[in-house]
Amino acid sequence: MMSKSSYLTDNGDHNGPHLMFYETSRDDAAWGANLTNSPVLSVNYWYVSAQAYPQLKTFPPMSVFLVGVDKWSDGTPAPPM
Amino acid sequence: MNSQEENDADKNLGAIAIKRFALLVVLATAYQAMAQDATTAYPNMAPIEQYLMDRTAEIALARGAAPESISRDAEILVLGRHGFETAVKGKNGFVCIVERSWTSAPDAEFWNPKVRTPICFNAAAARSYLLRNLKRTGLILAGRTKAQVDETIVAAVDKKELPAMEPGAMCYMMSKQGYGGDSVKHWPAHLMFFYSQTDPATWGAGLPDSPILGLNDTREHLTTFAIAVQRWSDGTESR
Repeated sequence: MMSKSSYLTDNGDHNGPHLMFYETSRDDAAWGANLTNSPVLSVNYWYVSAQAYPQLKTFPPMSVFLVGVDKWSDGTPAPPM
Repeated sequence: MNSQEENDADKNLGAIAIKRFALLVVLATAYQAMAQDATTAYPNMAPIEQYLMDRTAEIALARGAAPESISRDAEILVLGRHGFETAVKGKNGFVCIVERSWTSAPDAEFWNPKVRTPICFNAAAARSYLLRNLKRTGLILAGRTKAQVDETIVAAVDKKELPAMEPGAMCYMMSKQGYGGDSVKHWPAHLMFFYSQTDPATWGAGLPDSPILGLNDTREHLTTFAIAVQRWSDGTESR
């Protein structure tokens, strides 16, 4: 996801080039994700809380790991995330 | 923006782009050079003492491969006279070491005693990829030649005495410190991902403007992907 034209969030610059990896687990710690200074972020693929939506507990486990990269898809440099 | 400002902005963007390109080239050169034969200033193994480090310094250097939030709870291995030894027990599954030349330098520097490359493996990589490096190191310190070690490792992989890569096996190489070798003194901050024999094209690796480098070691049935990241392990910008 390295497009310059995305709007990903209301925060900051709204956008940032990154790669996403899909893993059949829900273990953020496996990649050291979401820790201070880690370049890896992790979210539950199903996004919403399984506590709020009990039916999601039956879904197969899946995590999405995000790694920020330093340039847009056209090769120009991106600001640090 | 006036024309002077636009001109300055263009120059700055150009400079940054050149620097980033240079970093990727360094990363690509470092990994590709590892598979190449070349004449060398280091034809033989140096005395073992030259590869060893002060234990406390080695632990600190190893931890620097990953952010402190990861490495503070990692197992730390240090090099002894017969191989890597546990210096600090961990509790988060990560294992950090300082690799030496025989597992991390270009062939021409296979015996370069100055090489120190800090690296932190996640649990999946520690149970798969790291075992190859530990075995290789043990054989080296037992006096085997590079060719003998390569042959032994390949045979062990083929016989499944050394395991295939586990899903999710990856590592951090984000240290500001260390020494990659005389040809590539310091590697850019990056992550690596380990897979059993995979076509790099499936990741779009090595293509123009792709942020991914892919390297195949067909003898060991191993594919390594490397992705440069924007910061060193202490959070400072790496460009």
